[in-house]
Amino acid sequence: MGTFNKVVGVDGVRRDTVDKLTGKERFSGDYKIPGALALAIARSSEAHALIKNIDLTKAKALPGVVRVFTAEDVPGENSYGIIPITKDQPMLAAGKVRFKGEAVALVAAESLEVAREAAALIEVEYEPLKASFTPEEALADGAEAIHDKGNLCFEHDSLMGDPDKAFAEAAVIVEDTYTTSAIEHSYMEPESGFAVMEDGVVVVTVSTQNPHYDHADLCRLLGLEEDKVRVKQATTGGGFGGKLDLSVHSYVALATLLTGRPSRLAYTREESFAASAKRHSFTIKYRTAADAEGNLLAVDAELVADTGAYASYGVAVAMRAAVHAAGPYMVPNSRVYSRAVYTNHVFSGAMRGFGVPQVALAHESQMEKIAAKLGMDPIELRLKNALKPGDKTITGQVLGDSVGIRECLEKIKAVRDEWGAAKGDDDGVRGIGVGAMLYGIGNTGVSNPSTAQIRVNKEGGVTLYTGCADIGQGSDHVLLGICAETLGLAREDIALVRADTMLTTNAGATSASRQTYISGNAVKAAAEMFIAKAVEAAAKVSGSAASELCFTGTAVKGPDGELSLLEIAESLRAEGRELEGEGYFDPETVPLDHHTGQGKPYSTYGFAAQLTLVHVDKATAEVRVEKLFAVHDIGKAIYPQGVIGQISGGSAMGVGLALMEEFDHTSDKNFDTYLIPTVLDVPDVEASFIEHAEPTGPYGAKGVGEPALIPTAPAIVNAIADAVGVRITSLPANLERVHSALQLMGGK
Amino acid sequence: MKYFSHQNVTSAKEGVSCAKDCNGKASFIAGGTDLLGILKDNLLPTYPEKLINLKTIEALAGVENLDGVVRIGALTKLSALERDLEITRNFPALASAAASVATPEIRNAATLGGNLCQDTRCWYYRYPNHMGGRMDCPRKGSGPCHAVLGDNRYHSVVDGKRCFAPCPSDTAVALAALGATVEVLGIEGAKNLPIEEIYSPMGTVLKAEEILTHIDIPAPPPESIQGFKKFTVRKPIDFAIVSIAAKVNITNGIVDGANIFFGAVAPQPYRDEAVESALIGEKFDTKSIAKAAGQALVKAKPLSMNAYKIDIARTLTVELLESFII
Ligand SMILES: Cc1cc2nc3c(=O)[nH]c(=O)nc-3n(C[C@H](O)[C@H](O)[C@H](O)COP(=O)(O)OP(=O)(O)OC[C@H]3O[C@@H](n4cnc5c(N)ncnc54)[C@H](O)[C@@H]3O)c2cc1C
Ligand code: SF4
Repeated sequence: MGTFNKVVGVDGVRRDTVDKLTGKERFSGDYKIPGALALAIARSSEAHALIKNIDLTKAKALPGVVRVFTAEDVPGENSYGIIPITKDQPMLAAGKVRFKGEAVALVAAESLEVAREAAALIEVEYEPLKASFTPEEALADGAEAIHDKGNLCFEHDSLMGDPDKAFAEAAVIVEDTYTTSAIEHSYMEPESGFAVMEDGVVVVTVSTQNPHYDHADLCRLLGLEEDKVRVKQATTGGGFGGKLDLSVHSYVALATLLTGRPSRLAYTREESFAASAKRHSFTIKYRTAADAEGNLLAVDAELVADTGAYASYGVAVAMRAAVHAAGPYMVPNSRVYSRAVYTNHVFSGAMRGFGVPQVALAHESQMEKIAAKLGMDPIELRLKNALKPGDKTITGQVLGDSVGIRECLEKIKAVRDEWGAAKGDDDGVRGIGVGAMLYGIGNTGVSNPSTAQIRVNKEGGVTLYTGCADIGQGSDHVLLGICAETLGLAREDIALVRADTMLTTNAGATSASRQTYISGNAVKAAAEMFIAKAVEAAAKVSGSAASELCFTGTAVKGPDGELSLLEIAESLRAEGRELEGEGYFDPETVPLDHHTGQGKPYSTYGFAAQLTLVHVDKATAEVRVEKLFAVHDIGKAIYPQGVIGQISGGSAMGVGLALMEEFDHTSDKNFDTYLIPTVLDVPDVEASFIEHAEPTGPYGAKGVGEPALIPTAPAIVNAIADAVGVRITSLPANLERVHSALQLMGGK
Repeated sequence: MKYFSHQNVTSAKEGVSCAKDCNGKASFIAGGTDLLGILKDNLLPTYPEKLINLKTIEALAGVENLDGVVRIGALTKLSALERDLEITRNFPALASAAASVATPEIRNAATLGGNLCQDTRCWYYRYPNHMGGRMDCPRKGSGPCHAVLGDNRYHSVVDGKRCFAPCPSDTAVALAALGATVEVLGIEGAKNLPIEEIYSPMGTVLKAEEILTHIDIPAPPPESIQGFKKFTVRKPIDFAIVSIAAKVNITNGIVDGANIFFGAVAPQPYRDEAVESALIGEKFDTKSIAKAAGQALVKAKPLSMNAYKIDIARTLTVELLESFII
């Protein structure tokens, strides 16, 4: 390992760059599918209502309409959802709608115009029910139950030590309530896909983050055996968590299965806004206790997340938020109570960070408040409490060796001092702020393995088979890099078959910053097994001892010459075996205890700190982030440019979260009102990383996708406070909020 | 989008009579950058059966100098205004307003007439029909105004009535400060109106068959200074939170004429007489500017969420007028 380091850690042009830039790469909408039916969805006008009747007469009578589907046409179980305990979402509403914009009926027609016109002609008779638009409303006595089980989707408790005693003995206690907004993922490519029948199999080609999960839930919805459905991931134009749920998949699959014709569907941007998952908005009540020296003693947090009409990833978000509630600090006593609550908003699901950006606002604001109370330097306070190898997290997990938060903070501190000196005492409108975080890599406290295979192909080269969906973040390049490094080849020497449920095995979701670490390990294991098998077989054929043989990437060399991979494969085939390496990796976790929340949720964590310099215009309340400096502990950069790209893109998303993005469920339906930052709205980002190798990671790698964005918003909010003395506790810190905070302070 | 027929016309007169024949069931289309979005989202209770294409009226595209008045055809593209020498030289406020609109792609298609006649951006009004049904409101002829009790941060702070959506056009604000008039051709012939008078709280006052044919701007006195400034949440590609256009005449250091208009605060470009009169008769310096800026929007009656616009208007006033001090 690491002896012939030719690929890992080396930059170069990413393998998909040229095809994407030149338009050669095909997204699902780019395929021509002769004879495909166009689909359109009739959506609910009510947020919460019983469906009394659906009249399809007019829609069916429209020339060009081939078929109209409702819940009654769903052949299997009309319920899906990523988390096995909360499969509560129908593909077409059955008797009840739970949010405005929910799919009620599906039209298949010869043209998109006709399909849409027909969808508008569908007449639904509703009996409105009382709707709840906040968790408080939903949990109040007398609230209408959104689901049979009531409106509490999920709750999670976590307890460590004796927080009450710690608060009683504390020298300082700070507390506040923080809120964050619902956010739209805003991927460039909206949900899109198509289906065709091939030899009795429904083949769905779709923009997705999770083909193997899609496959399982499609089988369930359609009532089909596993081998009757095939999901192929199309080149995907971004996901950020929003393409982990089923969307167009189920509609194209249903229409094609029941008509026998190909069909296609792409959401309009408006549909994507109204009917795809959002980031959970959170309300966080947070108390922190510290001693007079600034050592954190206890945290007591209550988190409430609006999970909308369906659970989607709500359970995972509520749990992950709780696990991360104390941030990258050693806190001996803690109590965290986290809930995901159903409301009649569009469902909330996974979005980059899974609840951690939300809690980071709270723990990082609290750190500033403690520092202010104690008159301490806020970075020193963080350094004093930062986790070290061997420390315990609030789930009782003893951390391993790869804990780089101190180094991140030290680097940040040096830059802070530099900026501070340059800024001078300024005009009271510029401020510097810091944000820090930890992030568990992989799913929380559950088995979440990945698998991979490497085989010899007809040309005598090797092919890597992985179920991992590259959604634009670059996992293909990373996994091929790991494969190439291990086999002693270049990436270009390796063919790739990716994310096709017929040809590849499950790699789990492209989420939770897990693919580099988990699928990377599976690929590495597959490559190691491939080498071992090739050498073993070559030894048998040549009669040499395995120790005399050497794997060259394309052959096995020995004292008496070499055997090509094809020759080795042939000799194995004669024995009824294959020259194949199989890799499997499942990070070591211990499920969280139901009552105390204690356990080992992840086998490793990423760490980061970011620093921002902001300018606040006191009159207009406009906040502009002028500079951002980021340091991330990622274990090992397999492809350094990719890491920098993730940090730059992630922090841009963080600027949106901090200053602009707030999904208004009634009115936002496109980018004219839902503003996300453009390149002119984000600062110069100086992104850097440190490599505290993770012993269990492939070549030491952990993950960076979500950590990229988590510290940004707290760093901005803290910089605003530094600049003008107002602390924004509700995100986004938009014009109205900053303006009224300035006015309240009487600072003008 | 639903099907419609499409007809090219070659003169404004033909356009008017064609619209009349359609009995209110036609819409004019210029660049289509606003109209097609409205049709795609099926925003309105009525849907045109025919689109009458005005882009084929050659006489209405271009800038002409008519002895003291510059005449701009309504079909002139915004991108042409940004570059036209007559405009950039004599009406930099208009050139800069045109350049601040949307994106280069949109400005290459969008016309000045279309920019002036574009429909409101109120986000309730713009709620698409295919997402569970459009949102009706007074401006669409029935139902309550959602903005009054809802999220009105981008709405009018002054002069709203029944509808509180501000005029979204940037060019209208600059044209108003420049004293422009528009000519409107209808069944009974042509009429001229000051630009700000084509707006009412419920939209433009143009009838279904009326065409805005051109815009006339009087030549500015040589000693006047003018400019336009716009505040947005996002830097590019965003409608104004507040904009300001000003034309100030200064003789011997003393202000003897001032046109101050704010955009995105009212259903029409809002003439701020309080700021104007605070400037007139004063020496033009940072002190008088600060004082006058303090008067901006004193008559405003903000809604629940948009009082912040007043401070922004005041800041913009200072920034724009101070840039006039040579
Ligand atoms: C992403 C985006 C961002 C935008 N940002 C801005 C911005 O920052 N500032 C801004 O001011 N605008 C902005 N706009 C609006 C844009 O400027 C208008 O869409 C455009 O100017 C309309 O011109 P058009 O020629 O395309 O009009 P059309 O779409 O063809 O017409 C618009 C309306 O005006 C009517 N009409 C057009 N011409 C005439 C005429 N001569 N007589 C009578 N009626 C007529 C049409 O019937 C229609 O109702 C933005 C639009 C988009 C899509
Ligand atoms: S402000 Fe005007 S357009 Fe908006 S909802 Fe009210 S009446 Fe309708």
